[in-house]
This record gives sequence, structure tokens and C-alpha cells, in this order.
Amino acid sequence: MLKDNDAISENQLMQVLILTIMGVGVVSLPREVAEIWGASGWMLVILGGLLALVQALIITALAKRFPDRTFPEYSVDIAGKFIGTAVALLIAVYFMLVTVFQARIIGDVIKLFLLFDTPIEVIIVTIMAVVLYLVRNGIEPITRVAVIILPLLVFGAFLLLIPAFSGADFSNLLPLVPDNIPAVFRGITTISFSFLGYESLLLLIPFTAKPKHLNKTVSKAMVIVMLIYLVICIIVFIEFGVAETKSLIWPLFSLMKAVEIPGAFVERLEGIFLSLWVFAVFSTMMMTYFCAYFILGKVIGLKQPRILAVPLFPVIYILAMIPRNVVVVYEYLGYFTKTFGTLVAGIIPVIFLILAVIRKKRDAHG
Amino acid sequence: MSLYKRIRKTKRNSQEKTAKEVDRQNIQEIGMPADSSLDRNLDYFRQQLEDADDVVYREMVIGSRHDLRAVLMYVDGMVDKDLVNHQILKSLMLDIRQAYDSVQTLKEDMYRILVKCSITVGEISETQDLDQAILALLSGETLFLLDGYAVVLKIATRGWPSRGVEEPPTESVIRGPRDGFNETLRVNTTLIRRRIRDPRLKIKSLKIGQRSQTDVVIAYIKDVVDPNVLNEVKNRLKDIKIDGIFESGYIEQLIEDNWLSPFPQVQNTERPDEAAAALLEGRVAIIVDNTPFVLLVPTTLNSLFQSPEDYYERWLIASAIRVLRFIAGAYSLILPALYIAVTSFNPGIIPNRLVLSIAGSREGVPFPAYVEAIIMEVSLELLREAGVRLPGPIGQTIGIVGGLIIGQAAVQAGIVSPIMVIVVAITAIASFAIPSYNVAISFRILRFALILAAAFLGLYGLVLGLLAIIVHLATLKSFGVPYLPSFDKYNIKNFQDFVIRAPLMTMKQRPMFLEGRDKTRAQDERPEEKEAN
Amino acid sequence: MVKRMVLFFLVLAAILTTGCWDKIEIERRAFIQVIALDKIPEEERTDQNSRYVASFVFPNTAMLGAQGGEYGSGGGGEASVTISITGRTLSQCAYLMSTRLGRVVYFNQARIMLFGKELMKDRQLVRETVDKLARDFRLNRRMYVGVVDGMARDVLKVKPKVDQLIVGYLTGLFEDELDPARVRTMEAGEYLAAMREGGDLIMPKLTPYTDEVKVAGGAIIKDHRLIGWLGEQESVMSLLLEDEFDSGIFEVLYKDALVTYDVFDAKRKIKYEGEQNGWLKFTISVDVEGNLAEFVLGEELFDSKVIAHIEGLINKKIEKGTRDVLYKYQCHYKMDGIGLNEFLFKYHPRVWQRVKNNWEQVFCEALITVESDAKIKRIGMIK
Repeated sequence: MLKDNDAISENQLMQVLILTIMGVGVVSLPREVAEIWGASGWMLVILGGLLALVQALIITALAKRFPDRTFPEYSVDIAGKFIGTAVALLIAVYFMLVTVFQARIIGDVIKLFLLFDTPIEVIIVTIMAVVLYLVRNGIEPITRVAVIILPLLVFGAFLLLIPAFSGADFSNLLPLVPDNIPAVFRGITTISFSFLGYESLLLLIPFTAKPKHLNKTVSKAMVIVMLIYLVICIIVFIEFGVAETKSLIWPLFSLMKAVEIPGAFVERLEGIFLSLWVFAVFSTMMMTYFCAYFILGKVIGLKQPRILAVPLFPVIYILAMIPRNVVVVYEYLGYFTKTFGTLVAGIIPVIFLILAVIRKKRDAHG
Repeated sequence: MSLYKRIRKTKRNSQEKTAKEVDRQNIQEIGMPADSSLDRNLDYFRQQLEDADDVVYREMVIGSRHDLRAVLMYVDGMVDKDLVNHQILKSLMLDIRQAYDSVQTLKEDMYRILVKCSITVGEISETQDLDQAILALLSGETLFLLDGYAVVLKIATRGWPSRGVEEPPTESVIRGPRDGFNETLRVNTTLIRRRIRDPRLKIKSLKIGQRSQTDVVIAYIKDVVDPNVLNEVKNRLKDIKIDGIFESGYIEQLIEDNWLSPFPQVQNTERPDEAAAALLEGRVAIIVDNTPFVLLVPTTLNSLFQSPEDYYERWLIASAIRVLRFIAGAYSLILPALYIAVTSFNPGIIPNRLVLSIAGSREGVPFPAYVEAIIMEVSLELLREAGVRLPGPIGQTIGIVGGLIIGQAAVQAGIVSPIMVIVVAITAIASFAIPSYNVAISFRILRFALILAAAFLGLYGLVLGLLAIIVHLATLKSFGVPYLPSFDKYNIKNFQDFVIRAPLMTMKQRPMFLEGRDKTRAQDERPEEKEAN
Repeated sequence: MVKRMVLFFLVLAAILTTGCWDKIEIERRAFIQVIALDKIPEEERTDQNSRYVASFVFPNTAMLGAQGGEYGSGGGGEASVTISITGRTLSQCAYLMSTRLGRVVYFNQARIMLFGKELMKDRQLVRETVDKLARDFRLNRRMYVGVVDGMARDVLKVKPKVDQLIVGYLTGLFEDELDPARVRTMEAGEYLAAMREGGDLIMPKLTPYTDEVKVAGGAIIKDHRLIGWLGEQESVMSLLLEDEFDSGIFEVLYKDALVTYDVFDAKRKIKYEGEQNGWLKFTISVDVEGNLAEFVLGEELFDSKVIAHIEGLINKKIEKGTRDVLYKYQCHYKMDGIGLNEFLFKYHPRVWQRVKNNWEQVFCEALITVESDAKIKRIGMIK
């Protein structure tokens, strides 16, 4: 069993990966797919998931060449000191901004649904304080929290989503012909953004002790997330139909308002669902926050990157407070994923992998 | 971990500063060599043990020619007087006299003859260090000094008034052995040894406490224990610098990993069967003289939710009870906080009809729900504490008076709502269902923290509070072993002794969290299955 | 250590000084149970800008507390309170309600929402209310909605015979287990979705009397506006065509006596059969299963020929009734009340793409055949 050595096992890698991917995106995903492909949008989830899987495998291939070093350490080898450092810095900033978005969106949603009068600052600071408490301790406690949260989340979500099937109309999944076939390319990339989080593999893989079936593990995680997304989309579609789904900002929350548990043990589910969702967002934030300060620390050359965890806190907080309203947040988020997301999760790993292959850079036993 | 080291370091530094302490340590290490002159030895003893009037010096002359002077020393009350009188004094003074002449023909060293032929006591040992001899004397052994020999004979004659083996009051079970540890170290080790007759069961003793010189025993099974954990235990025990140990709680606090945590990182038990089971799991038991509480390390949260009874009942029942216990834990931790979060912040969750009766019952209550909860919880803790201090029958009366009468009166006076009384009462009952007292206490403390969190941010605050607890547990370690069971895989092996207790024949492996060498618990399949094959 | 203590006390001080923003004790809330919305009648309009009368019913928790019972068992003051507020917008009504009541209004536990006839006839007001209700996160999407023939608030004045609270009575009327065939049920979620998808739907109709409320028939909403009513029988037939029919009773005349057929299951299937002279052709088959509940005394029923004959009578009745409703939909209201558009969209998307811009006319011209297949499963204890 693993002890104080900051190493995780492959299975833990899978669990952390699943949790990192599932975050704020999942609540708006059904709307996004409905907007692009209408009733058959759920097929898009599979296609987008496959694209994300390919990208994740590219990152895995890159990380596997350097099994004991994290990205900022080998990026310099691959692309030279200046570019390597710059790219690593970019990735650190990327992770920091992802954390910012997570924090802001959870703040907005909690304020809207649970705490109408509480200042959003308090909501954001409190959850970030808990995240900070965790990430200071490094990757190992993070994975340990992940393995507690994941079954809780899956089990809880399962319980909450099952009642949604009662009285739902499966014909809402028809027709099987997409609304807008030419939009498929744009659609797939957009939906693959919902799977963002796999780029944390850049940092996770070096921590994995004695990986044997990395490709299999990563694929498994991605497929599991894909299936979960698929189930969620299908449930939302059969409950609401396409037209309704399109008009909901957070279809999953609306679903929770519409679902009723038989037996009236609990009247409204959204409070419980939001609590579970806080767990999900927390588990994404813990990973992105960790990636942000760890990569940043490595870029600067710190032996103990954890000392950066606290200074990063106010930065993230201030950035999270910048957007004026929820619409702007989502506009920024769309823009951010389109540019940064493509760059960090898609383009950079490909280029670095090609460079590494061409320049024959790899570590001895990689 | 780091915190623990830091504390240890500061402790060591402060000790090094005082020269006196260093001095005494030196004396103890070097010791005073015994002299061949009986008088000189006696002088040293008398000087060291000045004004210790419970030390008995029995001078005698051995042999018919009265030419061998000897002294028997013991501490009155700490020795078995029967043993001293009949097996030592009588042998030395009477029996030897009759056989003296024949003995002399043996042509051997007089001292050897006495030791070998005369003292009819099982356990004897020698020392040439007078300080060690004093230590032995104060531990209840009898010293025998013979003039002309620079050696002190220690005769194990310990015997003092002690409680018998009784049923442990803190961990009672319905099914299972009724014996419990008591205050005598030897009895305790015996109780364990009787359960594990394995030569690989090691019982290593050491002394802790500069003044108390308390006997402490580390028990483990050599090829089952995780060597890293064992080393860590030994090192931490060695590093303890304290004048006296009166209860294993001292040791617990001095060796635990994180002293800021509300969770106990060391398990204690009064039950020998539980200790023996822990040894078989590959854990280490620390037995301290003068206390029936034996420490078990490393500890996981999981093991604190287990009771030895779980293994004696059939697995289905045991599993059901264990699930119940986890529910009790959850209740005791979050119920009042959940009630506050739901009623004061998010009443949408409550079923339509219930919400009305809750609202109706709170009508006229002057305090907000969280104040109400804190008042009730504090009163309940008061009752509990008062009940512990008072003698048995009165304690029960307090429970009835406090619980029923005050509760009823408070509701009628409109100070608290009846539903809050129910919530608090369920919480209290649930917290008694947790088998480990110290976990129950930590849950009680955290319950207040969660009440505040829920009063601050409602359901969201409660969730964050729970997350913070999970995070804390995830960072916590007990002797290098994660406090939370860290499932590498979600497979059945990891769960078979966690929330449920799988059938014994399926539990073939020792717990995964310990790196023992002998991983297999049981190999054979059930006999019926074999026959079927 | 000192740092930690300071931090702890700072946090504690922050909590204590700022307080708990959202904490509202449960007895300070008014749990709205029924919402009734009306267009303000001209004679009551005091303020030029007032447009709505919103009536809210909430339980008198103080009285419930005194009784210690649930759902108001016992006398001593009214078990529930009804308050009517006039205002320009719904938000204003809710806001005024809070200020006037001195309690925090809580909508998440509402069970019933009723709309008055006049309100539903005003397209502008309907659209406003739909947007407001869909946007409001506090709204319970599982509450039942209905249109009242008259003023919606009149329903709240009804004194139920058995139930103490009007909400218990109304919920009972709508609830599934009691569902006596003719009752159409619609939840707020469905209502809002249908309204947003174009505004064509059929809603339950309520008629208030002095001590009871009748839930029967349907309100035809077309393009966000109430354009007419469906009678009881029409509503039942329409339910059959909409595939919403669960159970109910049909009577047919046999040998000068009324024979009662008790339906426990009904299924509808639509088949698109291509075009004929440019008109879309549909066949709707209705499969009904039920028992014979009443028959003519002395007549032999234990005979498959008799059964088949009665089944034929029932089929004729259903086919005629559905034809009548379809006629009303196609020729009178020009509105697709049975969900043919949805059927085409889902199962024949290409056809739908072609006709969707012209659907109203295409629907009215469509050739729709209804084929009923009633099955008598059991006939009771005597022959």
C-alpha cells in the first residue's frame, strides 16, 4: 500500500481523473448538446467523448516518455528553455483559470439556488478554504479524498436520477437524425470541451507508481465519464424534451426540480443534488488548484511547490470576482475553453509529442 | 508527521538545557557497581533509600557456624509475603542449616550453592549494579545480598493487592469472553498469551518514565507485523521523556501523529480478545503497567467502529449491526446540523406535511433553531458528564430527571420545540451506539462545529464542513498508515471488513493497509465445500 | 500555533458580526400551498396599472402548532389563510405579499396553481406569467396547474366537505391514485414546456361550486391564449387520442339498457400512411382493455358472441366520440390537440421538415382515421 511517498496507483489515477473531469460542466452539458444537434444530441456526447479520449491518449503518450518527471521539467528538454518554460507557465495559468471558473460558477449557482442573500464572496472563500486545506498536503491526500467522494457521488447521483425515469417519455430521444449535420465538427469539439480535465494527466501520470496499463486506465476513465454524461443527457432529454432543454441554463438542476422521489420522503431534491454537486465541483477544484500551484512551483524551480498554494488563493479569489454577472461568466468560459482549452488539452500535447519523437527525447525507462 | 517530530524535538531541546536532568540520566546509565563488602553495599542502599520506611532489611546469618552474613531486602506490601517467608527465609535459615555440612562437601562457591540449592523460587536473576537492584526492589522484587560477593540476587517475589480479572465496563458485549485487562502488567500479558500460543508472539518490555519507571510492553507477532510500523512504535516510545506514566493515555498522547486532530489516532481497549485480534491483524499492542487500557496501533477510523462482537456473531447479523453503527455515527455527527440547515435555510427538502408540523411546533419558541440546538446539546453533555461522576443509582436518577422532566418542562415552557428534543435525543442515543468512546467524543465535538457551519451557511455550510472533515481524515495518519481506509481498488477485498463484515471464510487476507509479511489469514475452504469437490 | 488561534478567532468574529444572511426560522416563513392568478376585473381596478390579482393560500402554522396535529386537524381559527394581492406584475404581487404579511413567502412547497379564465384569454398576460414562472428558481415544477372557468380565486373560497385545507382537497382531486378518468392532470413543468414550445396545449378545467370543485373537461389553449373548452366527454375522447387515458367508464346502449364498460388500460398508436391528394393520412388505433361492470339483468353474457357484439358497440362509441373531437380540433379550433406534430417530428422527421411551417393548415386538412379495438377482459361474478 502507498504511504508518504506522494505516489498514486493506477486505479487512483482513474478515480481522480473521473472526478476531475466531472465538475461544473455537467450541469449545462445537456443544453449544449441540444443546441447543436437537437434531439439526437446525445449521440454527440459519444463523438465528443471519443475525441477527448484521443486527446487524452496523446497526453498519456507524451507523459509516458518521461515517467518520472512532470511537464514543466521535461518541456524544457523538448522545446528549449524559453519556449518550454513559457508553455509550462501557460499551462499553470490555464489550470489557475479553470479553478477560477469553477469557483465563480459554484458561487453563482449556490447563491441562486440555496443562499440568496449570502454574499458570493463568502460562498467562494469558504469552499476555496477547504480546497486549500486539502491541496497543501500534496497529491496523496487528494487521491484519498477522491476515493471517498467518487462512490458517494456515483451512489447519490444514481439514487437521485433513478426516479427521473418514472413517467419519462423515451420517444423524446427521437428523431435519430441530427438537426444540423454540417455542425458536427464544431459540435464534437465543443462537446469535447465538456471532457476537459484530462489535461491534468500531464501532472498525474508522473505521480503514478509503476504504471503498467496507462492507456487502458485512461481510456477506462474517459469511457466511464462518457457513459455518465450520456446517461445524464438521456435522462434530461426524456424528461424535458429537446425544446425545453435548449432553453434551460442548467438543465440538470431543472431536472432535479422536476423529479419526485416516490413515497414523499423528501419533497424537493434540488438541495440534496446541489450538495452532491458541491462535492463534484470540489473534487475538480482540488485537482486544478493542485496542478496550478505545482506546475507554477516547478516552473519557478521550487523544491516544495506547496508553499505557493497559499499565495495563489487571493489571486484566484480576485479573478473569480471579476465577471459582472452569470452571463458574462459563461461567455468568458466559452471563450476560454475555445482558446486555452484547445491549446492546452489539444494542440500543445500534440506538438510536444511530435517534437519529442523527432528529437528523440525520452527518459531511460520510459 | 512533521508536527509530531517538531514536538519531539522541542521536548528534547528543553530537556538538554537542564543539566540536572542530564546528570541523573548519567547516573542511571552507569550505575553503582556492587562491592564485595556487605556493609558497604548496605550503606549505599540505606543512603539511596533514606526515609523510605517501607523497605525491609532482613539481616541473617546463614549456616550452623554463623559465619555467613546475608541480607534480604524487599518493599513491604509489594512482595508476596508467603513466598518470602516460606520459600526464601525458611530455606535459607532452617533448611540450609540442617544440610550445611553436606553442602559444604560440595566444595563449591557458597553463593552458587545457595542460589542453586536453597532458594526455592522460580525466577531469579543477578546484577552487579546497585541502582538496577534498587529499581528491581522498587518494582517488587526481593534482593538477596551475601557478604563477600559483589553481586545482588534479585528474586521475583512480586505480589501486591490487585483487582481480579473482571468484565470490562467500557466495552461490554453480549456475546464474547467476559475477561478484561486489569492493572497488573503480567496478568495482561498472560491474557494475551493465553489466546495466542505462538512462539512468534513477542512481548518486549521496556521502562518509561524517569521517576515512575513504569513497565511498558510492546506486543506483536513477528512475522505478521509491519516492520516499519514496529520500528516507528519503538522509536517513538524510546523518545518519550517524561517523569511519570500513570495511564496509557500519557503514552497515547506522546506518540500520536497529530495532536491537533479531534480523532483518536491510537485505539485503546480493555478487552484481551480485541487486543489479540489486533495482533493477528498485524498491529502492535502497547501494554502499560497500572492500567487496564491497552493501546493498539496503528489505528484506522474503521477499526474504531468495530467491536470484537462483530466477529463472534454470524456475518449477516454482524454486518447489519455494523451498518447500523455507521448510521449511528452519521446521525451523531450531522443530525442536529442537518436539522438546522434544512429548517432554517432550505425547507424545500422537507416533505410538505412535515414542514407544517415543524413550523407549528416552533411557533412561539424564542430562539433561532441553532441556539436551541446548542442549548439542548450542551445540556445533554452536562447530563452525561454529571451521570458519569455520580455513583451508579444516582446517575440514573439524574438521567431520568434531566432527560424526561427537564425536557418535558422545557417544551411546555416553550423554550425549545418538541422536534428539537427528538433530534437531540436521537443524536445522543446514536452517539452511545458508537463502540469506541474516544471516537464518540470526537464526533460530539465535531457535531458542534457542524452546527455552527450549518447555522452560518445552511446546507452548503454543512457540506463544506463534512468535506473539511473528510479532508482532515484523508491527511491524517497513524504511524505511517492512512487513517482512512484508502481503497486502491473498489473491489470486494477492501470492503469485506469495512462497512460490512464478510463471512469469516471469505476473509482470507489480513487488512491491506498493513504491510505484514504473512498476509494470509486462513487458507482452507470450508470443509463442506471441500467434500463437495 | 498562535497564528492558528488568531485565524480561528478572526473567522469566528467574522461569522458572529456578519451573521447568517439566509437564516430564516421555519416559523417565519409562509409556505404557499395554492396560487391562483387572475386578470383583475375592471370593477376592482383601483390603480390604473394593476393587472393581476394573485391569491395565495398558506397554512396557519400558529394554529397548527397549538393543535400539535398535522394538516390542521381540529378547530380554533382558520387552518389556512388566503390573501389576495393586486399588482402590475407577478413579482410585484409576491413582493407585496411578503411585505404585507411580515413573513417570508416560500413558493417551493406550492402544490396547486390555478389560472382564471380571463387571464388565460389575454395572450400578453399568459406570456408574462409563463416567463416569470419558468425563470423563477423557487417555483415547484411538480405542482398541478389548471384553468378555472371563472375567477381562479373563487376556487379558494370553496369549503371542502371533508378536508380541512383547500390544498389537501385540490391535491386529492388531481392525484393519480384517485384519478377518475375524466380528470386531466398537468404539472407546472409540462405546462411551461408546452407554453414555450409554441403555446398549443390542453389544460385541465376546474369549475368551482359552493362546497366542491369539479375537475373535468379541458381548456384549449392555442398560441398562448384560451380559445375554447372541451366538454367532459370530449375531453375523455381527446385523452384517448393523446395517449393520456388511464382508466374510466364508457356506457353503451344494449337492448334498451345501459351497459357499463370499465376501462383499466388504453393505448394509442399513430400510423402515418403517406399522402393522398396532397393531404397527409393518419390512422390512429386505440386499444382499450377493460371489464364489464354493469349489464342487463337476466341476459346471458357468458358468450363470446355477445361479448364481441358489445365490444363492437364500444368501438363504435369510441370511434364516433373521437371523430367528433377531431372535427372540433381540425375544423373549429384549427389546433393540433393530439400531438400529431410531435409524432411527425419524432418518427417522420423528413415529412415534418416539409410541413412544419404550414402545420396548422396541414393538420386541418389531414385525413385521420380512428380505429378502436376494445377488449372486454372480465365480466364480473355472475354470468
